[in-house]
Amino acid sequence: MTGPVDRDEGVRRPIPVLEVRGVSKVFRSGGSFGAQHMVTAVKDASFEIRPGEAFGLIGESGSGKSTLGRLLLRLEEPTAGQIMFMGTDIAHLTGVQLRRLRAGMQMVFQDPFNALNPSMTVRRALAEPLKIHRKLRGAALDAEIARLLDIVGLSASAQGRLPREFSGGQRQRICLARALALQPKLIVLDEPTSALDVSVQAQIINLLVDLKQQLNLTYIFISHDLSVIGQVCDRIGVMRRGELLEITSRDQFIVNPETEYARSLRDAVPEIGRPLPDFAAEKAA
Amino acid sequence: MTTLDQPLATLAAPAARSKPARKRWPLSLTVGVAILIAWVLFTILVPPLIGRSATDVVYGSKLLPPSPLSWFGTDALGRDLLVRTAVAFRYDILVAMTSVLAAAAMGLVLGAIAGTAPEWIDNLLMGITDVISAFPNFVLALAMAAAFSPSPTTLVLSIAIVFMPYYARTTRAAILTEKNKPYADAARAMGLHPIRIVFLHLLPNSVPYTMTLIATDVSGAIMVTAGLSFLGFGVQPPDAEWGLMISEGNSFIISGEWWVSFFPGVAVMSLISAFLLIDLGIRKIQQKF
Repeated sequence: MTGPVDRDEGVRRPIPVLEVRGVSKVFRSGGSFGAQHMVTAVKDASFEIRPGEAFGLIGESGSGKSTLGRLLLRLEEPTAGQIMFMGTDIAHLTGVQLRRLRAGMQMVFQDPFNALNPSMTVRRALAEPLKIHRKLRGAALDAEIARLLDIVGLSASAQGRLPREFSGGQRQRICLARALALQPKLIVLDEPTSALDVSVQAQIINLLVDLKQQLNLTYIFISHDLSVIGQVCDRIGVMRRGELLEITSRDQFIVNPETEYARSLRDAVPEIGRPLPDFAAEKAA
Repeated sequence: MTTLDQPLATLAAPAARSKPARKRWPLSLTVGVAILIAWVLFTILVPPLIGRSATDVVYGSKLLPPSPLSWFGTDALGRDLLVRTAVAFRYDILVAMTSVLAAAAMGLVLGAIAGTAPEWIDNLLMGITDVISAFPNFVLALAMAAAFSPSPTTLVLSIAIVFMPYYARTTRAAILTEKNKPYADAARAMGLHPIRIVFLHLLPNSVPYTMTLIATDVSGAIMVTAGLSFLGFGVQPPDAEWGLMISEGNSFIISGEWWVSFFPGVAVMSLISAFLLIDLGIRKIQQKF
């Protein structure tokens, strides 16, 4: 394996929930006429996710972090590589087998305004996965819907309402409840707070941290916001131009990132009281 | 003080007046719905009030001009044209609305399949709709109605097929938009069956795109219904239908008995106008919100 060195290795190694080996994704555009355009969104990424951890993926826009997240859920077809989920390679599964395994992984999307079916009430949105995968009916179904709404901090009266009647933060809570409905082994959070107001962001982050402890969840948290990643994640993977540059623990990342790029990302976080870099001096030099 | 108050008052006045104006129900919608309601009442109330059915023949009263005895006059067989015109409304509205709803239903299903199926199925379905829409509506409906035995069912089917392509194309385009939204990804990630995703998630959100043309299409379908019956491919005698009644009075226009064709003709016009006005009203409401 030629991937980045995992410096957190050997501390304690339970069986990984997800193991990614050399996954690549190449998008082709253009066709029969003219030059074909190839964009390598993800290049030979390898890492693993252990149960109960929160893994942060950071990188600037276009670094391929969202594509990597989508690949893990098979929302995109990987061009190469293996994605081992609970010991099964899902990179080439189709049909029933894929659908069954998918229930074990869920995703929370960046844009809460489009992530819920606008014509489905909250109750229907939550009942659907419960009926299909967990075969709940009647009173058990009602109880589970009420429980899910309760753990994400929404009142039971939300059930009969449509997504458009809720604010962005409330919608993100509904999305989270929907993801939790299937009791997933892994939740991919694709910039879950970047479309929200700062005050609401904090609420959602706190909720995510609380839920992780309460329910012993495993997260992959995709974000370009280092302060958010720092609050949630134990380990951090740094991506740049489709490559996973390094994987470190959060503490390592803060103290001493390995690569130059990771260091520059860390130092890019604005902080009140810290003097701005002296651009004038840099220019003169 | 007064010099200051004056301009403020004039500034505030138009704003206050424009608010209720924006909420007003469009006049065209009111008129359209009123005509429709009038027709429904007319078709229910006229036969019992006159006391004759659409096929009752009154002997010795052929081609009577409009008079207080029979307001719209009688036709060549001595049937009361007021009753016939009122009863014919049922045929025209039923055929037109059923065929447009059938067209919408077929279009929604075909569009949903085209929008999600492999490319060759998409190309095949869109090719078929292209062929259908290449012909003028009326000509194609005429050819299909002529190919089978004339009956209301044939009429409904041929009109439905003619009006289907628009719904299929719009639905396909809407599905292509909807299936890239995150909620579709969420449904996929949830491990739902693709067919379930199309029909329970994507299609319900695509329907509104196609609904804008229903009222216009119903007016078009009324025209085709009356037109085909006029040519003898739709409703058959002795049933009362406007297009058929116009054709029955056709030969009497020159000899002076204008009323036989005139009243069903006005009826067709009024119903078509009603649906066009309703369509206009719906558009106005949509623009406001």
